[in-house]
Amino acid sequence: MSTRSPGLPRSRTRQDRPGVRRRPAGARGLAFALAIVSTLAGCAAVDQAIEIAKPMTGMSDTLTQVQQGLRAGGHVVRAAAPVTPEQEHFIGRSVAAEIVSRPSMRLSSDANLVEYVSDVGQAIVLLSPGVGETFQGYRFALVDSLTVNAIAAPGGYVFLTRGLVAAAQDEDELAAVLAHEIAHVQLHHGMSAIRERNLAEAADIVGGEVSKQSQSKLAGVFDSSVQEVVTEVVTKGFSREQEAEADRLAVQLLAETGYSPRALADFLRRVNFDGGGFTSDHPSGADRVAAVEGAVRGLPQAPGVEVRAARFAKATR
Amino acid sequence: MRRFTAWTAAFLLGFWFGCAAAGAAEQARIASREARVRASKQKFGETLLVLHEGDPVTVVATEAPWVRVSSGGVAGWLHESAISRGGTSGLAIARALTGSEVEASERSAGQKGFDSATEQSFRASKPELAAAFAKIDRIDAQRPDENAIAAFARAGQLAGGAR
Repeated sequence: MSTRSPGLPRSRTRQDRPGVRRRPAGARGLAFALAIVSTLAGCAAVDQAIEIAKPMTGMSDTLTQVQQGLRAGGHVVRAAAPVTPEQEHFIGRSVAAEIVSRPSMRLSSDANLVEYVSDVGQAIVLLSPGVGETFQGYRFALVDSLTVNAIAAPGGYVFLTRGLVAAAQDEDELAAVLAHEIAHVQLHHGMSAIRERNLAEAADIVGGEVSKQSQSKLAGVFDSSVQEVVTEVVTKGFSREQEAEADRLAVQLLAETGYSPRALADFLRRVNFDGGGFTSDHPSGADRVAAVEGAVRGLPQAPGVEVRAARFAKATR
Repeated sequence: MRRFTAWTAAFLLGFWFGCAAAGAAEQARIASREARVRASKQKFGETLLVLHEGDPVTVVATEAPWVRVSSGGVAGWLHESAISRGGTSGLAIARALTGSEVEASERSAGQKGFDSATEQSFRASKPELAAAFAKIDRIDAQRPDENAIAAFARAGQLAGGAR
C-alpha cells in the first residue's frame, strides 16, 4: 500500500503536470465510479466498458491506468480458476495415456465386466446432482491387475483394477469406490498438482502473440504439467486431507444416487488401502474409517441393496 | 466537490441497478463439449436442445445446482457446471485481459491454452505413447447411453432412475 504526504493530493499534482487538461467534475465522477466498479467486478466486460467510456470522459490516460489495474487483477482470477474444463480435459487425456502406457496398467478385455463397472459409475454421474459436468463426461475403465487400486485422472478418466472389483463385496461397495474417485475429479485434486509456476507461464504464453516458439513453449509447459499430475495420481498419491475431502463428497454422491453411503465405511474398514505401490494413495487408517462412519451416521438405509448385490454377483462371477 | 460527489453517487447507483437488471438475464457460454438442455432439473430425460462448447445462452434463473437457460427461443435446464458465466475463465481470462496487445485477426486464431493442438505437439514429442493414445481414443468413443444407464438405475432401485 502506497502512502502520500498530506497536503499534496494526487489530483493537484496531476493537474499541475504540463499538457494535462482539467476535466469536468462529472467526467471525474464517471472515471472514479468506473474505477470502483472495475475493482469490484474485475471482469472483461467492465474492461470493454472502460474502453467505450474513454472518449466520453476525455480521461483516457486515467482510465487506461484503471484498465491496467484490472488486468493485473486477472492474476487473482487465474489463481482461483486455473484452467477451463476443455484444458482440464486435454491434460486428463494425456495423463490417462501415460497411465495406460504402463505395463502394469493393461486394460481389461472382459467386455461384460467393463460395461458393468462403467454402468455403476455412470449411474452416479447421471443421478447425483452433486456431480458436475466435465468437458467430455466421465469414462470408467477396468485394468487387468490383481492389485487393489483406483486412479482418477483430470477431466473424468477413472481406472479401477480387477483386484479392487474383487475386493468389493457388493455393488454398493463398488459404487462407493467409484464415487470416491469421481469426487477426486470433481474437486480437481489431480489438477492441484500442477505448480503455479506452470500455470502462470501458460497464461503468459496465451496472452502473447502466436508463434512457433510460443507453441513449442506451451507444449513444454503442457508436458511438465502432465508429468506433475501423473506423479501425483499414480506415484505419490493425494494428501490425507484430499482423501478425507473426497470421502465426504463420496458420501453425498452415494446418498443422492440411492446407493448406501455406509458401503464406503464398510469397504474401508475391511480393505486395507495402506499397501505399497499404487495403493499408497489410499491410506485407510482408523481415523479415516471413523470420519466416514461419522459422516454416514443418521443417514437412512438405501433400499434395493440385495437386488444390486445379486447383479454384482452375476457380473463378477 | 459536492457536484463531484453527486455525480459519483448517481453513476454508482445507476451502474449498480444496471448490473442487477443485467444479472436477471445473465449471458453465459457452454463450457462442455456438448450440453443437453433438459425439460426438467435432472441430467437425463427429455432433451429440448443440444448445445456445444462456446454457444451463448441467457441464464434466466438459478436454482443451484441447476440453471434455467434460454437459447434461440427455447428455455430449459442445465447443470450449472455446464456453463461458463461471463463467457470465459482461467487461461482464457488471462488472454482476454492482455488481449489488447494482440491484433484481432491474431486473437481469433490465437493460442487457446491447452487444447488439441497442444496435445498434438505433446504426442509428436512422445511417439512411444501412440498406442496409449489410441486406447484413450477408444475409451473416449464409448459415450454412455443415458437411456441404458437410466434403465440400469431403475433395475437397481436407485434414486431418480425409477421415475
